Amino acid sequence: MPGRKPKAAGAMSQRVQESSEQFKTSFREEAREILTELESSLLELHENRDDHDLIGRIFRGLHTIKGSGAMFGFERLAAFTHDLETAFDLVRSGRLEVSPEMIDVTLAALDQISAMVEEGTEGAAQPDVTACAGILSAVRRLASIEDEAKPAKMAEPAPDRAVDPAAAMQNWQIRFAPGPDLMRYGAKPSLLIGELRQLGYASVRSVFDAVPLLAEIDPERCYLSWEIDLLTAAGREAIRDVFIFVEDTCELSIEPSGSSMEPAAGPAPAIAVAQPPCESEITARALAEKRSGSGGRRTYDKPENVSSLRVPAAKLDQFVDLVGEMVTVQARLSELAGRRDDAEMISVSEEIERLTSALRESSMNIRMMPIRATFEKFRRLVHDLARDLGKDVELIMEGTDTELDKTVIEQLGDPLMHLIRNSMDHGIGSREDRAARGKPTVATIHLSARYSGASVLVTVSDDGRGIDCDAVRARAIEKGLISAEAQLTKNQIFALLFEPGFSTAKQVTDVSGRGVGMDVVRQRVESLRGTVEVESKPGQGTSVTLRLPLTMAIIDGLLVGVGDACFVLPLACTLECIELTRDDIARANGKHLVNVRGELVPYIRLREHFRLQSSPPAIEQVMLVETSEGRCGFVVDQVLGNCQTVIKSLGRFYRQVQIVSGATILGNGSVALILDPERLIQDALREEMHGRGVLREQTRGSQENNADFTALAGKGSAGPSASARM
Amino acid sequence: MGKALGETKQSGHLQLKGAIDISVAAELKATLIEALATEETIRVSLEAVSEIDVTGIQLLWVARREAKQRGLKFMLEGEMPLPVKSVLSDLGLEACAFFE
Repeated sequence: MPGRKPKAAGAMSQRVQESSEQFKTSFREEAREILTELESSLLELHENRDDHDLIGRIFRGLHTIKGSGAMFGFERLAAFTHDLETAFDLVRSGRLEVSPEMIDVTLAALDQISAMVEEGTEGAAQPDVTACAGILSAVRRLASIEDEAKPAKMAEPAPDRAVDPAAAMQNWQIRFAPGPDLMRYGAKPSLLIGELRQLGYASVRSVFDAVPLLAEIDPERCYLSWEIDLLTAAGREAIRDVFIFVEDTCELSIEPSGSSMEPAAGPAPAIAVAQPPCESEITARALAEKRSGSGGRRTYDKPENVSSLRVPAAKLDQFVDLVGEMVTVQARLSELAGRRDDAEMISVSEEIERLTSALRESSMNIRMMPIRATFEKFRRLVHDLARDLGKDVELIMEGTDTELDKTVIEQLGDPLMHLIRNSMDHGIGSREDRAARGKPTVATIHLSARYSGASVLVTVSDDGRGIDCDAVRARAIEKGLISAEAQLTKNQIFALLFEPGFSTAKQVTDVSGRGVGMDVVRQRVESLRGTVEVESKPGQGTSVTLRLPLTMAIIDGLLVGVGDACFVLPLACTLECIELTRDDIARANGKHLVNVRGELVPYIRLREHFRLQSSPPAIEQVMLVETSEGRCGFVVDQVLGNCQTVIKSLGRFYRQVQIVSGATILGNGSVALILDPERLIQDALREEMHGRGVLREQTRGSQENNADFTALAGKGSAGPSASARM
Repeated sequence: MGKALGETKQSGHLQLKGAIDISVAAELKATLIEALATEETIRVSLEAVSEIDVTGIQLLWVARREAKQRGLKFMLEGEMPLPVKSVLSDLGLEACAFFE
């Protein structure tokens, strides 16, 4: 025995450790969500201090974090959360009032809890022990929790935990059968049942029926199940919360049984009157039933009951990569089928094309996430900044259900944070300042997201002072960004804000004004193939809109040819295609303008712009595109057709080439560059300005409404590009 | 027998010690199977056990059930430590009635 066993046990404990690590990871993920929710609930509580639902939600969140934390070995976290939970229990039962200080302390505590949750993960900040001690003593002071009472409470919390004593007691029959892997995850049924006991009076019975013969037993699997009669004032929701981290993998039923009874009823033969449950409980129960179908039952062997799955992001990325490869191969197949002119093969190829397209669509959909979580984080930022800056600011969020690619969402946090900080610090004036201008003292920041074609518009707007164009201009001259004589339009001035190192703040504050931020916003949004637009009215406020693509990895493109070269234009921005004859060119008096049903639209000849050596055909095509600067045309030899395009990056050497957003491999194996229409126009304008442009030198003049690209092409432009191009 | 489970003083006497949990469950299973195959009387001492989990409990329970079926004696010896008692009572297994 000695030689063999320790080895086996060693391998076993390693496996156990791995699964327990896995379970910790999933606890972390759940905990992060709960923490985000807690944070927004707390900030909402700031506005509505008497909202019982909110208080209940906060209590339950803290309770779940504590309970599950303890179960998965986060003892420090559990101990730290304990007093907070007690405090909110007091609030819930009406024995303590919510104060702004309490909300602030709890928010600070959430930061520490978050650090404790992340402890042990790579790059995580350590919880601050001193801060924790300070927070705990503040909580105890606020909630008048006595220190000496604590150790006893820690070990065995009062049985009325999570229970509203005023609510009617109800008998529940709970059946809990752990899934096969429960033990391997490191979860402990004894702790779960212990938590149930805290809800009220429980009678627990172990069921051994499922235990097989000793020889057949899987020693790491839990075969026991439990039947528990629980007399409690807690609702179904609170009972379910005990099982929140295991309910996906276990069989759980929670059924009310018998009649409910009054907790205060004396020992005398009092008639048990079924108290109508309080409204929140009815709601909670209805919700629970709605969520779980019939009677709160969940089983691990019925996957249709599992409404969502957690999948590591890396697996998803790999999946999308593979779909991308598939799209490339499919393009080759289509090309091949077209060349062979084999009807059967063409039909198979078309079928595959249809499927690939559907596969691509659904793989993209999997990556889509609502922007809500990103937005919610800013409640805290606005709250904290408003306090630090001594301003009253209300954050209003709209379109939080708008979905965006996971990658885009992940990258969006920083730019939005900079924009909000800027609004809070520079945009919104002090209380006195606002009062003097006859504005409401409470300022508003709007954070909104909405769909617009193949893009999502994310807007941060404030009702502050607006951008002072003269100050920006003066600052730009001082910094040497423009010459003192430069005639700039409003949008050109706004574009200066995004130059590196630009800041108009008279004082550098902790919040912003260091001149980093806006250029970072531009870089980040640019890397997402997005654009930034600024609108501002003096005295009325500023609004910054980020236009972001829905997806990152694959786009629908339009393949065009110029001589031997192929280019891809993003289909989302293309409008229509018209012919350009030599006569048309002659009629335009040397201007690069084409008449589209009476409207003059400027165009760029790709052959000239890219200095391609081939000669143009007699009839060229103008591909019209819609950009943030208005309509513009690109002149090509021929339009080759639609293509699904997997965007491949060009690598480091070509990072400076901004008119191209990537490359793609075509069906015939050749490479086509994916053009960035907005950039291309910027580039053409810049060349124009330097006198070697392909857009003809036109009369100079300032043009206020430079959103109209026609005006620029017709009259030339002075100064930097019309709007900040990201 | 393996380190985690402690040493047998004499045949048929399993003296368990330390944490009898999932990390030693496979080892405990093998030990119990061997004991059932070779001994007529199996005495298990839990005195030195610092903690026990469901996997340990169900193995001991099933071993006792099988010993009974085969007409073997399966006994728990000595004082049951507090942590073991409390887990048994948490799980709704009355400490004294568990191995009657």
